[in-house]
Amino acid sequence: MYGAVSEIREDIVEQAADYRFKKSPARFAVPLGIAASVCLIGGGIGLAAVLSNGSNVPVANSAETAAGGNVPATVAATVNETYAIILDPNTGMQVGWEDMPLYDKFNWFKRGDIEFTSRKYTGSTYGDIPAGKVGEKLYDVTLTTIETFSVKEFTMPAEVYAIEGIDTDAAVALKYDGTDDYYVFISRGYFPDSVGGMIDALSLRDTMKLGTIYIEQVYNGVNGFYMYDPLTMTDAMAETIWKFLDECREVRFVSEGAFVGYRQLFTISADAELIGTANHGIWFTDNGYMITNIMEFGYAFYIGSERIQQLMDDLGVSAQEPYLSTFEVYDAPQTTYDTGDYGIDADYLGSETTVMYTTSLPQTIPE
Amino acid sequence: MEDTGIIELYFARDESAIKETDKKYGAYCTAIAMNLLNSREDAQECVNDTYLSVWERIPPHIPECLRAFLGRMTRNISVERYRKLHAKKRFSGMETALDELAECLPSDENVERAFDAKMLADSLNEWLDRLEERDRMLFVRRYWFGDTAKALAAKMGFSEAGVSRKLARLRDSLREALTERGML
Repeated sequence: MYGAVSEIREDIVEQAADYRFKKSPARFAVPLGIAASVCLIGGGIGLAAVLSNGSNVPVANSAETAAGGNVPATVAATVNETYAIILDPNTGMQVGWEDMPLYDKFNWFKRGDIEFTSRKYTGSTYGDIPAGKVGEKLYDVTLTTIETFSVKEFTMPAEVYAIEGIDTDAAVALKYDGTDDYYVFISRGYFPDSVGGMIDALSLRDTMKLGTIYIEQVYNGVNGFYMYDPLTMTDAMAETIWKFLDECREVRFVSEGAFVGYRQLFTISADAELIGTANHGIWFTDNGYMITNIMEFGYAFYIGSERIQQLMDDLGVSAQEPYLSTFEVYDAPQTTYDTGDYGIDADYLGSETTVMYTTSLPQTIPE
Repeated sequence: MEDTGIIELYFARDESAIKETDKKYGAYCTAIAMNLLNSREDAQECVNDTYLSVWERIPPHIPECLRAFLGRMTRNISVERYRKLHAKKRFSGMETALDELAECLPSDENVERAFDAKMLADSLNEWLDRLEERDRMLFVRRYWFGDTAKALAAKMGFSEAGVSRKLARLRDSLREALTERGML
């Protein structure tokens, strides 16, 4: 039976031998004990992949859309968590169905055309909602899952509630029948209309805690990661950022449009427990975008480079000159292009698919 | 040394051919064997057997791609060793990958009885061709090279569970493809 696998064509095996997967850090949420910078690295590239609606085609720059003020069609969620699988962290083996917690077994449901997915999973930091934060009951649902080994379908009835202060189009609380715990489920179909709309719908003023500021230091192409110079958030800095966000309330959401061809100037880590967000990020780009993945999707807003520069001045941070002088861009057929000086040619990247970055030089960080 | 130079050493019956092969491809072959057998000792023996087998086959055989030739031979020898050892004890390396595949590939008996094994291989290759590149590479890395879900998760930037879900969907897709062809 396994002989067939041995007979996989040589050209496919050869390609796989050297294949480098483009990283897709859909979740930044790794254990907080690990350096937080790790959770933020590669966000831009990874999100481009996540937001490209399942394909590997980087989305086009939407600056024109922003100027026009029209909210483009949103990206439909294609995440379909039909299968419930957990691997035991110690053995690497799949945890048996009977031993899995309900939130891992039944982690999504559909309401009309909109899919809601759970923020609670084994190892997650957040995802539970205190009973005191649960609002009125909204509706009943039945969650369905196929268990992988037996390929049997299992169902689980549950009740859905509002979360206090959170738009029910964005996130809800779910309680499995026969239990007393509530878990966050976020909508895969929710996109804010503006910065202010996002702040209000997610009650960010009350729920979001700003963390470390990471100033882009160097693109380390060898590992596909950015490296950051972390800066501890002070109360004054947090207030400056909130003031900035309030001043940008009218800035409209421009979908996923800014995810190619930009350089991250700095990033702010953020937690928002009520929507199950742990150690996600808000980053600012050199082409004038503010982007955040606090709801897993990347939400992009065209703020403008001048305002971002003003924020940096107010925070007293400055983007550092990158150390790299040269790196290469690979497209899908492994054709190599040398982009010359540091920086990604946006037009160029926008025309490619499955873009992967690497460096042509051994990287060392100067003293 | 270039592959052509190594092959020339085999043709000249120069035993340094094996040394040069090991120098250039030893780590590659060992990684394949280790992934499948989860035992450094067994893996090393399989790699040594591979070198011996290559010595016996070249000449007259001239591989188009020496690395692919070595990789396939290492894999086949490792699978054979796995089969021999499997009756005695269970492993966490090859076993996991093969157990996953068992759900969507016909059994040996059925293959021998009803189909030409080559047909199955052809169907598998056709199915792979239809996949997106990333999925194709994921499948091959898991089931040909034997990479663990954990290792693939690190390479792809996914969680282990995410990789497992993707693999489960790929196996479903393969099972459907084989069912359509009447092979299941």
